[in-house]
Amino acid sequence: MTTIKPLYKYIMKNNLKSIFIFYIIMTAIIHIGFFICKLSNGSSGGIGGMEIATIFLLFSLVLCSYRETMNLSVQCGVSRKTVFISSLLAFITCGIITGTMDLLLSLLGNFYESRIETFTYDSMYEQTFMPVGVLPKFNDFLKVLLMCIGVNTATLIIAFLIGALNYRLSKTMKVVIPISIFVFIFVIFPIVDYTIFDMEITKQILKLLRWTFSSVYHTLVIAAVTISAALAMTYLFIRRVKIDDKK
Amino acid sequence: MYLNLNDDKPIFIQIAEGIEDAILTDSFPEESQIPSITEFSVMYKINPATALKGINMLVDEKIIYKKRGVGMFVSSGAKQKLNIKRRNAFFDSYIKTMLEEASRIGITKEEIIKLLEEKGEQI
Amino acid sequence: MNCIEIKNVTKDFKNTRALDNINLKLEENKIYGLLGRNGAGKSTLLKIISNRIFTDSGSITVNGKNTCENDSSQRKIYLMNESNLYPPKMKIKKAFQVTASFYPDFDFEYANKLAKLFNLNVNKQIRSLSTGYTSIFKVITALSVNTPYVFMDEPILGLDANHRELFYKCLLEKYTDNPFCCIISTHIIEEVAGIIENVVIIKNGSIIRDTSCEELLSEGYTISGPAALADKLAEGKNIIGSDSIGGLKNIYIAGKNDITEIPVGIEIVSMDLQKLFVQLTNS
Repeated sequence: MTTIKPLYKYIMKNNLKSIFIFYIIMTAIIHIGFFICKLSNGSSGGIGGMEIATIFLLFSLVLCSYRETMNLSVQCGVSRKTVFISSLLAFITCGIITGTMDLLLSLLGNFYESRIETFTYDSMYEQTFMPVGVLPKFNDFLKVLLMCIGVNTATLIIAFLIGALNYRLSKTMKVVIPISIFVFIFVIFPIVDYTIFDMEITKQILKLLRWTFSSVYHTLVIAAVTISAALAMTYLFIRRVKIDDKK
Repeated sequence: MYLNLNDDKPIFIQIAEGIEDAILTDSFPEESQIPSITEFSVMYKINPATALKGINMLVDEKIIYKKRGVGMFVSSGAKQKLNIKRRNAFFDSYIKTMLEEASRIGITKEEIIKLLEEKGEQI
Repeated sequence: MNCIEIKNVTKDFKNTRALDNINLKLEENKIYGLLGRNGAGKSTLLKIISNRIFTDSGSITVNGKNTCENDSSQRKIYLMNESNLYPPKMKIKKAFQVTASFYPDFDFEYANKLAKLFNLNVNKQIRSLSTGYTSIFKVITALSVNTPYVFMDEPILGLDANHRELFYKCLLEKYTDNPFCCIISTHIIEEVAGIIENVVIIKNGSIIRDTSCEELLSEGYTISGPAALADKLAEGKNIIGSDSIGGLKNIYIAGKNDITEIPVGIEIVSMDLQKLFVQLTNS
């Protein structure tokens, strides 16, 4: 399988460019935020949940490049299996890289937070799992790292799944399916749940969400489950897809 | 060597005949090198295998010989060999057709001979 | 034996059978002409060989190994067709580099040399190319990959006469320097008739001819002359078509020319590849 390496390198190169620029901007934002607070007398400010931006970045990276990567790969004689494996390896790598970068941002933000009273920084982890105002310690940062890697990788793979599904759909289906999903989640499901199941399903879902966010390890378990399910479905969508540039 | 390839005869035969013509008119003198297979195929837009077939025909008739690593050359005595070959084929290749056309349009043998005597010198 | 073997390949699209039990062997180091009318199934066959779509039944092997979803087999094959599968915003230079990373025998110098010959600016983005230059870019890539089997589906689409001549020249030069198996699928038959060694004709999803060009041409001739005479002479022969103008008739015969006595007024003419193709594929 000598094509895994060249394709992996190609995907990584494309992603790393955007990731690099992204983190330069993010670092600058934290610096700027801190200095604004420092220089203004008394008024306080804060930054929180920057990891959401990372999630958006990763999501759009994969969605925008899926079609091009797929087409280019097949033009260059790469099998769909190899596209799947190379992409997966690239996503795991990017998940680890961005997770680590998110951790470093978090360290930087919390460092500044410890310096002056008026600046607060809360990473997503802190917002979810820690009481307000408490500064994270070494153990917590470890968990930040794990959470970011897990969430980022899951984001990449979910985007991969959506990309793979989107590639297979005709123009009409591309409109029909999102609308159907929307209608199902916000109209059909609530009605069915209310009338037949007495809101039981919604209660169970809320219970699951509460469990997921009660501990970072739970979050990681759910991320792992999501990743596995998404990967399986993606493989099914990819394995026999017709390659065409006319979609 | 100018060739206008047509569909009357297989292309490899036309190539061979084109080379023969060039040898007879001294465009390819004896012991000189003739163009390579690549040059023939690119020049006349034909498959190299076709060019090769035509040339091999001439090699078999000892008109051309190949020098390994160098190229293909016109054999000495090729001109004479071709002369004999063309002479033997002259009647079938040209006279027969002329006689057929003459019979089609009603020109007699005497008229042909008269034409040859009057206009034959002009060529 | 190094070759691509297509065995019992059948492909259906909704209600039409695009390919019907195709059996074909493509030998290495030959130039093939893959001919067929619009919709005959040529492009479908090429797409199946290069793993773009899947066959419904049968198999295709290259040098003995299956081509379907097989990286090492696909490494020996390259297809250029009407699809533009390179990223539109990619620069041509970059496209060469990326292709080279997947095809280790890609000749960068040769690609750049061809680009200069054809006046192709390698710093342009692929999406900014005209139809003709898109074909030129694809053709240059196909000629530079150096895979044992190269498939070209309509390589001269949109090329002006000068570029078409240049393409044939480059193809023949490359073929004589480093022989490879090149399969050209095109509608412009007269132009490729000289350079192809073997002909494969597809009609309505089936292969109706698979021989050397020479053999195919020796198996067709035209009886031309007054209608009555022509009809008489053509009696009992395999007539594949005819046309008439006034009292004169051309009758197209498939088979070897074994006529010994040609009646006065009749002409026996050989058929060029395009004429033979048209007569064989007229429904």
